[in-house]
Amino acid sequence: METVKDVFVSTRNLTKIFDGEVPAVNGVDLNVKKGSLTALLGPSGCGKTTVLRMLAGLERPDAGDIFMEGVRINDVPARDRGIGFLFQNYALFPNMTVSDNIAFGLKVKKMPSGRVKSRVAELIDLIGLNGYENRFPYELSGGQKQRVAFARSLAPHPKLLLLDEPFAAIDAKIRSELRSWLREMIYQIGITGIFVTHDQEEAVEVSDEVILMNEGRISQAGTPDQLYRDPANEFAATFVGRSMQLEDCSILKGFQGIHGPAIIRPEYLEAFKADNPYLKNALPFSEDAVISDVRFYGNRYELELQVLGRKFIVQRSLERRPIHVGEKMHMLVYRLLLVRDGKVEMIENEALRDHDKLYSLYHW
Amino acid sequence: MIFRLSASPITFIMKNNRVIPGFKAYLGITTGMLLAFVLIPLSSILIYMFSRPPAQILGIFLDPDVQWAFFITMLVSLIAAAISSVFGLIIAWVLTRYEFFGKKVLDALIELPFALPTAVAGITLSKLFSDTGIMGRLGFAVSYTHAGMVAALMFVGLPFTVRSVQPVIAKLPRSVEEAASILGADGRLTFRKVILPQLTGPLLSGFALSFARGVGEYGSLIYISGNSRKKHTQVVSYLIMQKLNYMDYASASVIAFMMLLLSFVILILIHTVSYRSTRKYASGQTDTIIPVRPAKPARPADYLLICTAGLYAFVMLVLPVFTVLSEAFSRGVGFYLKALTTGYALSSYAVSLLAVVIAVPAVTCFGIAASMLLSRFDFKGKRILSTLIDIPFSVSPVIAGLSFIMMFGRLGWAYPLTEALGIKIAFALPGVVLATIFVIFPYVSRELVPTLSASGRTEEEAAAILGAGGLRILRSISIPKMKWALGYGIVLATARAFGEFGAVSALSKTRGKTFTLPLEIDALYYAGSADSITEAFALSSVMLLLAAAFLILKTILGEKKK
Repeated sequence: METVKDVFVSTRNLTKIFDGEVPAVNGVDLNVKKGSLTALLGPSGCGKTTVLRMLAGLERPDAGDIFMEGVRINDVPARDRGIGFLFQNYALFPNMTVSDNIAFGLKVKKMPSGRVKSRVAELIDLIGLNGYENRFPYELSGGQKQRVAFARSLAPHPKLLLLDEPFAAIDAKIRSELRSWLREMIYQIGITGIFVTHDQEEAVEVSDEVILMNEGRISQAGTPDQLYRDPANEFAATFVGRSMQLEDCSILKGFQGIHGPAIIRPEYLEAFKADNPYLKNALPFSEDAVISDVRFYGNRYELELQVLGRKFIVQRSLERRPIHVGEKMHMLVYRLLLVRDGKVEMIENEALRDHDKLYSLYHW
Repeated sequence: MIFRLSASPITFIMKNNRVIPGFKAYLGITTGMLLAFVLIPLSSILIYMFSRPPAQILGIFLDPDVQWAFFITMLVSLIAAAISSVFGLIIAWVLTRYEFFGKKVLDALIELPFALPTAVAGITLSKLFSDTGIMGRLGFAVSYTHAGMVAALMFVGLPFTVRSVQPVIAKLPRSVEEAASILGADGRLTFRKVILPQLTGPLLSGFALSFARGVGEYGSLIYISGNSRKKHTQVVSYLIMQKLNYMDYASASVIAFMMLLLSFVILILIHTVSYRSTRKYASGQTDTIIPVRPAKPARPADYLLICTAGLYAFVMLVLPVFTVLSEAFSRGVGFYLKALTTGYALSSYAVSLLAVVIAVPAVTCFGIAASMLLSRFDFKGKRILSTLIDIPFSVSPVIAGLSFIMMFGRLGWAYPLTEALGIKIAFALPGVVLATIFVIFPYVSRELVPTLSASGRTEEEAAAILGAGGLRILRSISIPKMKWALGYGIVLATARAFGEFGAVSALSKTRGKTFTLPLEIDALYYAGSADSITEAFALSSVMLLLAAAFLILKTILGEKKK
């Protein structure tokens, strides 16, 4: 369990209302552990960037408190909070060279010029841009600009690094490279990091903890694994991971007694041919299915199945027997997420409980 | 190989496979009109000048009066541009960063010097700063001195310095200033180290535009300067006009040539500065930039800035308006109405209207062709062409008038031709129209090119691929894209055409027949009697009303354009 000592940044009832409209941020309580990398995840307009800007001191909360190492910092100006901020479009000073950009925060703090020089050289080394010291921002690529912005924000030794959509403006190809670079850098330096993203894949891949936001509130907070396996509500279940929605789960075999809408992920499903010897026991409680489309994803297939007049997506290993469009299959539903009043509950297929062998095979 | 050899010069300068049709037509209209209305008339001055003996040219060149005029013109313009740049920056900053009462009015008023005819500005400022004017009685009686000339040029240059900087401040990304603040910089340091360096390009170009305008200025200067040879208050434009009136065409041409050279240097400088600064600050992601939101003033420094901007605008813009109105009605409404309806006045309305009705459509046509050419096609010599189009902008209007005299006047090379055809151009209505076209030539295209360039050419390309012809693309795609900017450009061109003074003044000498409204105002003012000066102000109030209408239209169209 986390103790107070572990928590580096926290907020209580954090609220922001722009121009008297609907609150952009509405009573957010969050805790970020020291040395961790936390993602603020959510669709655009969910208030995640506003939370980040309030943590930085760029925006004043209309209600609630922000604590850093247990001290309330609401009234501490941005420049005295000991934070680094990485802007979405880097916000490099266009009139300054790479070195001058990195040195800016040090010179402002009146660091002697010898130490400024050595610190800048150290950071240039860290970001691997040796030889680019005298270039101007407009002479750099997007990835290089981001590295410079990273170095500039780290130069004055901040205790907390805040990153606003750090990968949004970068091509897909370098993005994943930069993601792992940034993650490594942050661990290497041993700093606490919070970053904003609307990309669930990015959040899951990069962070230790994810804070999922929706409509100004925290929907769920936890490790990426927890969010995925154990979604707390309908929004979390549909936003993280792939999902299909079913208006009433009682139409499926093994769930007849349960009524209500359900969310099903591709991994909860199994598609097999009628002559599959391993799954022949499951035939009585599986649905008849027809393959309507097969898509190749490099390391797997995704089958689109027509079942009970609805579409289901199932993944299939490349190692299994070949299949083709139009082929008759059977679909087994291991479990699903039942939605009740916005909350979700994991329901296992009843029929599988009596078939120990199948059940244990899956869980093993 | 054979095909390549026989290719026309036009296909030579074309880059391979242009998708959008109409290149040749746009190129033809643009270069044809540019040659006919600007380049050929201007070169007529050179043709005449080089027909004179070199000793005479050199003599004029070395005339101390000419040298003094150049020195004073440049000095006064430099000082005015410098002062105007400082206040221009303050006003632009205040307009983009603060919310305060009267901001919209101030913003609209900035273009008053642009909309108000120079002749009206001239007589108004010389009244305002004379012993009996408001500023004069406050101790700033600077009319007929060098300081007065600087004041007039500060008035004329204000829109250039404000409008060069204002859009750049408005587009400075909020995040850059926030980054500086997180890194520990306070407001003043951020301004000095981060904001000001980003504004050097626009500040320089505003300074250069204001300087260029000052060097070529005629109408607003000649009343307040007093034009004394002894006190060295003659400017170059005045000197050219004086030589013209003495029929000393040789001197006029040589001085005009010297001034043209100066204008070219300034023009090239402006283009280089603006080219460099746009390249340097183009971050390529302008669409995602969030600017700083204007805030209510909070600190004493905020109020100080707003008050400074307000005071400067009050003296430079509001007091002149007040002066025109108070002078116009100084003898009562009856006298005012009579002044507006004299025979001369009625004739001048008609001439002004005629010039505008012909010149503005011509320039609009050119503006559309030139902006399509410059924004939709790539070809060699594009930058040179766009620089050439701006010539009338930087050339003194007096030179425009002179160039048509040297082309169509008794000494001009085209005189035998026009006489054979039985047409009189110089000192007749066609000359007035031509001079007006020359002066407003770049006004529409200048508004359209940035708008069209910013909107990109993909829609036109898509239409071309679907098989649409050049005219159809223009009508159904490009013109809808530029309609607000087009309206805006037409309003500016119309305002400028109504107010044109120097060029028309050189070409029009018959009061009651070829005099436009500004010329009639000038004639009344120079008649010198107390009655006629009041009449001049009465007619000025008509022009002020027009200017107000232009400013309102311009503000509406400017908002739509965004």
